[in-house]
Amino acid sequence: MIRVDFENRIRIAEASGGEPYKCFQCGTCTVNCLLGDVIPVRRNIRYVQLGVLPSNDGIWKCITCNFCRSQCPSDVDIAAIVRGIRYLNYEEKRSPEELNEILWRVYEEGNPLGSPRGERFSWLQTLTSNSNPDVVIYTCCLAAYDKRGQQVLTKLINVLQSAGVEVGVFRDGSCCGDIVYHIGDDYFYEELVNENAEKLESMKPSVVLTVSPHVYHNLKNLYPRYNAKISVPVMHHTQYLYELLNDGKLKLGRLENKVTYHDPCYLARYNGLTEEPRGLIEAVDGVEFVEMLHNKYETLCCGGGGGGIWTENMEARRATRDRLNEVTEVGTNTLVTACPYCIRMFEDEAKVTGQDIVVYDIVDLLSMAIE
Amino acid sequence: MSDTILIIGGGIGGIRAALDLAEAGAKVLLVDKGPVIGGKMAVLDKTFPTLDCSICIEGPLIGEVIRHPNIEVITLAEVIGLEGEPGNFKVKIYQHPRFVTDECTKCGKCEEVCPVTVPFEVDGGKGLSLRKAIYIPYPQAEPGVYVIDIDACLNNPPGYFPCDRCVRVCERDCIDFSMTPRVIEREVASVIVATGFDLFDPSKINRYGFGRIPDVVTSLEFDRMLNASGPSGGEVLRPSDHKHAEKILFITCVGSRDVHNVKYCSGFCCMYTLKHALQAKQHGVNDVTCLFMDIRAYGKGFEDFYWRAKREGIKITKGRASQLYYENGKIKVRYEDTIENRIVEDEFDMVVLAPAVLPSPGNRKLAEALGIELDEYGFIKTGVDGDPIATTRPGVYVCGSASGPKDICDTVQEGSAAAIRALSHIPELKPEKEEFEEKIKEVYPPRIAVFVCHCGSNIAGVVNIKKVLESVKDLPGVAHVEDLKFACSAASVEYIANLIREKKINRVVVSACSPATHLEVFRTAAKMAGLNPYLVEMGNIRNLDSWVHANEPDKATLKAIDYTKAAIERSKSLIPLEPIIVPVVKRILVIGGGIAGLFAAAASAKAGIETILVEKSDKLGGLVRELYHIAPSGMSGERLVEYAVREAKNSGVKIHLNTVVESIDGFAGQFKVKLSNGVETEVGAIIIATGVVPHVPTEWQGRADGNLLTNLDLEKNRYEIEGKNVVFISCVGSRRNGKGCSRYCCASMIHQALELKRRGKNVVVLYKDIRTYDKEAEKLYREALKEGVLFIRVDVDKPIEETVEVSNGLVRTRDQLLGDVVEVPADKVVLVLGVEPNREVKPLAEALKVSEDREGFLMEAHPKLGPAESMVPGVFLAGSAQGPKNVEETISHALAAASKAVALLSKGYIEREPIIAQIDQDKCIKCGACMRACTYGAIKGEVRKHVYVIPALCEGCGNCLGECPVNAIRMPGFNDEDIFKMMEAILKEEPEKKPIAFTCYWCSYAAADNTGIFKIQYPSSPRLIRLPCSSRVNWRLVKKAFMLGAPAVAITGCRITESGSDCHYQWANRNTVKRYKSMKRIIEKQGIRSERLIMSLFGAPEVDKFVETMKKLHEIAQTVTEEEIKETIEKLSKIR
Repeated sequence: MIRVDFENRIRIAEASGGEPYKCFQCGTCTVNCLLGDVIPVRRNIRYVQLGVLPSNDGIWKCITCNFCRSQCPSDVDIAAIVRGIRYLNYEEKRSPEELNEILWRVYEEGNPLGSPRGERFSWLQTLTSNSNPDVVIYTCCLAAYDKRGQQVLTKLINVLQSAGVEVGVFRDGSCCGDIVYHIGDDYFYEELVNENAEKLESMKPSVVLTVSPHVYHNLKNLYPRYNAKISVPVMHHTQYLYELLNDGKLKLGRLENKVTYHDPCYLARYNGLTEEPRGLIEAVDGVEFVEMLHNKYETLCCGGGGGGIWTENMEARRATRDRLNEVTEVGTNTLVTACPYCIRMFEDEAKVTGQDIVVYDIVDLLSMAIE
Repeated sequence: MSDTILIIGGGIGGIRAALDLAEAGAKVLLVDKGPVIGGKMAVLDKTFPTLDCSICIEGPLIGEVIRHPNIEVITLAEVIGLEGEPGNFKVKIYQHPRFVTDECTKCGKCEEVCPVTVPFEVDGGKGLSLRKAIYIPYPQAEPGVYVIDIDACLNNPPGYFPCDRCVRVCERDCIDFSMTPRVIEREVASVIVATGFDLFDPSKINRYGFGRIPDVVTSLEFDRMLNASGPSGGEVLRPSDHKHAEKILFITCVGSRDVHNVKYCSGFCCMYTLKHALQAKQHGVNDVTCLFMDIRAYGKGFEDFYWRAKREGIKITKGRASQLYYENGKIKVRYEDTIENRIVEDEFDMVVLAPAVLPSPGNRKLAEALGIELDEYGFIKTGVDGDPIATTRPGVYVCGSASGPKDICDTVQEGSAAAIRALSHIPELKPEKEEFEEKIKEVYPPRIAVFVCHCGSNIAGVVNIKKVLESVKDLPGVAHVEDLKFACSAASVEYIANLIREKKINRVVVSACSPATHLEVFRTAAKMAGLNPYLVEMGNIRNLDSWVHANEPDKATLKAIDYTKAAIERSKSLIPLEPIIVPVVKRILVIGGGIAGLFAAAASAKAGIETILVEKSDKLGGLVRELYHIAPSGMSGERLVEYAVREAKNSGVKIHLNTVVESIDGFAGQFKVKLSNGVETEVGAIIIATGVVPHVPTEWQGRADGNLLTNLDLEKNRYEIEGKNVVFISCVGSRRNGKGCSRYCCASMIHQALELKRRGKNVVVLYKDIRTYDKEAEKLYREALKEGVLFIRVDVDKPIEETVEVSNGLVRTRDQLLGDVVEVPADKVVLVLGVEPNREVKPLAEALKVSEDREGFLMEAHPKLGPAESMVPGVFLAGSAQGPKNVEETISHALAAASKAVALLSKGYIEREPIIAQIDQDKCIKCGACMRACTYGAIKGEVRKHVYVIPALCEGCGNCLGECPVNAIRMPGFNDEDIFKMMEAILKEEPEKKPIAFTCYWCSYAAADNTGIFKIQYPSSPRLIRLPCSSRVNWRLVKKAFMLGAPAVAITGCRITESGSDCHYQWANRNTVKRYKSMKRIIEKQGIRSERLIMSLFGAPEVDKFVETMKKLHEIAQTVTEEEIKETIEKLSKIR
């Protein structure tokens, strides 16, 4: 038996931005969850509505892709509810041990991998101007420490420079805090993001450029909620490159390829950025662009969000595979996307399934077109 | 000042408004943008919850509109401008060319040669079926001439590709490509917008795969599939492989109640989905699942229908579908059964989507042309103060789904309501009497024209029409025989009229479909020719023959011959008649001074008819006066009452407070009324507006420390109550033990809950289904959710008091959506009361012979098309007396009742059917048996002295003919001798193979008709003889049938149930039962096997009972030998 606790109900709802109230319990979310039957989505919301804090495994398995929200007839921000539940569970010290370890890594080395802080940019040979640059790149930890990510970052810098942009890199920064936010350690998050923002501000950039939609989302939408101010525009690289293209600064050659595009959740669903990436792909002469069944606001997920990429989340791979199958269904083996998580997840899973799928960041594509 | 009213949109709402206005004497200009009128209802298969055949009940109304002298129909036309003031508008109408003139006879030759084929929009336009560029939308369409879809036609100028195939084959030169668009300018007094709705395109929701997966169809496409004249001929076939579907999933709220698409509830999808689910079962689909969010079965009879669906094994699940995948010809889906708390993975042959209702796409342009506003969704905005009929421009009214989703019944109600509003702008009605000049005076000897209809292939595909013509052409009296492709088309009707004139015909027999739907059509043909319309008879060779013996063409042909011959015989006994003209008193009595009575009275008086209103209490306004706020608008009840009282008084209504009706006597047009204050008066029509009473809660009494209060208490307290935690319990006294939904309460409760929440309370609502079907109410529901009202769903299947426990400071129930018991702290518990019939109206209803429905609400004339009329002519129903309604609906229902009453009285006289009983005084022995038998008190007199019929009271049931011992009562076509002749014609050949079944017109004949509509096959041997009522059957008829060699006889009629009788003639069928018993005794005494005479009573929808009876007759007949028949004849010839 459950006794309705009005105070607790209000407490959880407030931690979830009031979102649980909006739900009328139709159950659309449960069966549209990209992880299958791992998370009793609707029931979790029901518990919350009654003032009971759920603490099942599913809460921590959620990849916060918010595909459920895209299907929800009440447009409930279910990821916000998940985050509210995680936050309160963390406060009550009921989060999985594995996650605490990640927090320690961020705390000690400034990244969830636990790689040495000093090696964050040791690989970066390209000369970048850190005095008075046009843009400052705030790279994702994955892009900084992962070979593939480093490749994309390098190409991005080259592409930007080819368009006459002075590029700076935010070398002093730590993890943007995304994983900390998703684990629900609000105190640490607040401290971390304020420190990041302060350091970033001190570089006096005119534009902050992110390669990861997650970094973008944090800087743009979450930092302000924790009083971390970034006074200049924050842009995802596809936005900035699209502007360059429209200003005629980005000169692209010809490239024969048939490609499809995967909208990263945090770019398309969370921030509505769907036209810029398409504009860039379609600007490359010779590229045939095909749309997958699920796209834009209703995009599927690579399985890497909400902490998924940093944990052993086997269930999340169901989402990854579903997406790869849609790639095959449209008759191409080139998947373009715009997020380091997506690239990593798709490349790894394609190796497992043996699918012959090449995963590109848009920057990969553009850099080929420029050469 | 103009005397014309413009109606935009020729769907059922526009049709109802047009007919009400025309009957009241106004002129109507009916404009439709399509090529025909009838709207969406015309292409639907069945209507819920009665499963009436949609076109069968709408068809006669369409025909009436087309033929009414006061109505002008302009199709393919759009209104492009409206100037001026109410009473003096100038309207501009743009009419597109049809390219076919009215000379068209629908012969179809043009269609055959037309080289262009396009998807047929009526069937969904996806290529489920095709049509030509020159086409007719559906067989019974009116105006019944072809139309050219110029966008598809090769001759589409400019840059056309010349083609004149259709022009060359048209024998009557009806095709004219030189027709050009024209602008028509007219003066009108007022305008009614009845533009209906559009449907959401489900392909916009990726998940459901509509457009990608061939076997995912819309509900409208599915409906067409069920329709015998639809693309699959009435079979449920998968579009992908044309195989019968065994397993179907229905998904509701496709786009509705979805903030990504349309926020509001589409109002009627739940019900039609249940209807489709049931129909699917009837069409041989074994496994049917429906996915719902809430079951919104809020209308009259809907809750019963929901239970029926459950009983018949439809799986009704609260849950939503996942992405649909198509694999190996099956549609794979997952859904969460939110009540059972489990995820179901399943696969289906077919998925049917119920798409959201959208505003008509032309609304924006039309609103601009009319200078009216639209609401936030694009529907026509209705006026302030919750008035559902007025738009934002005076003199312009709206009805039906043009202002938001509405079912047929509510649309019809609003159509009538809009009519009386529109009528108020015409100063004075000058009704013109329909002139009929009887040119054909020589009616003897009979010169009969016999027409046999093909009904396309409906009849001709089974019955050998040539043989039928051949076998009757030489019968005595037959002067002409001919077959017609569609006898009912306007062109055919005109053709029949011409033939009557040319060949001096004085009797017409049409063997076609059912006289129930089409006799009026052919009577019109007679009238056009100057022949008395009562000299027309029909043989029903479709519903009673070709449709039900489709696999036995030879036997069906023999049956068609028999029915045609019988009709010819009956036609000979018809005599010219004139409608009985009953002068009416132009005064209306409104009983009840609640909001319904006030609005009905004010509208009646405004239309220029003296109106009296009686109210038993000392106050006007009824329950509405008690409401602090009216949901969902939030308007004060008192203010609305004050407004209504002012309107009533200003329009001259005479109000009697503290008064009840003491006695009522009389009939439509002339009721004598005695009031308790001594006033005696005569009125022509009565509007019963006695409302409802709130359920008296006995549930949980005394178990909650006095913290229980009702929702009405809350209104009286103006929402000021003590305590922090408030729990609402809904459905108290509703939705249990056969009681339906009280309809008003969800919206009202949510309004109250939200108000309390905003006053800082913790508010919890216990509910079964949230039924906020109204646009504004659904919005309120979302607001309440968002602002933190907690909704807990309880067990739907039990009365609420059995599932909710209330004890000191706590409310306990099982949360259906969690599957666990939940306890809620409650300082105050608000019982949301259902409404119950007002029992005080019972004596009055009985005196007027107005029947009650199963719940005790007053019974309307027709659940779809006659919501504001009672079954008794001249008595109308306003507001919740007929069934639960919210305030807005009460107002529109009251206006509809007024509209009907005004239409009845404004002419100053009523026409009544003249086929009634007449006493042959020479034969009559003045025994008085008929006086005792008559259920209408229509036979008066004194035993042994004089006995006579009062024509204005006689309903023509023939019950007295069944009773008269000396055959002294006459009723043309239904006399003993008339029926003898029919039976002689039928039983002339092979009588031993033909059992006879006498049917009443209203139930058993209707059931036979419906069996045809369902295409249920049964043995072809029985022959039906249509009578007005089963009480018409007497021993002489039964004896004659046996004497002519019939192996068995059945008497069939309406049911007598514990709570009442379906009998159209007020329990006249009790006499049937009595007489049947005595007939049984006679044949038993004669040593005739008594099972050869059977009686079977059933309702019109009970097709299974009808079929059972036919099978039984057939089986009995097979046991009867020729020897036995001979013996029977011998035995019977010895007795009277």
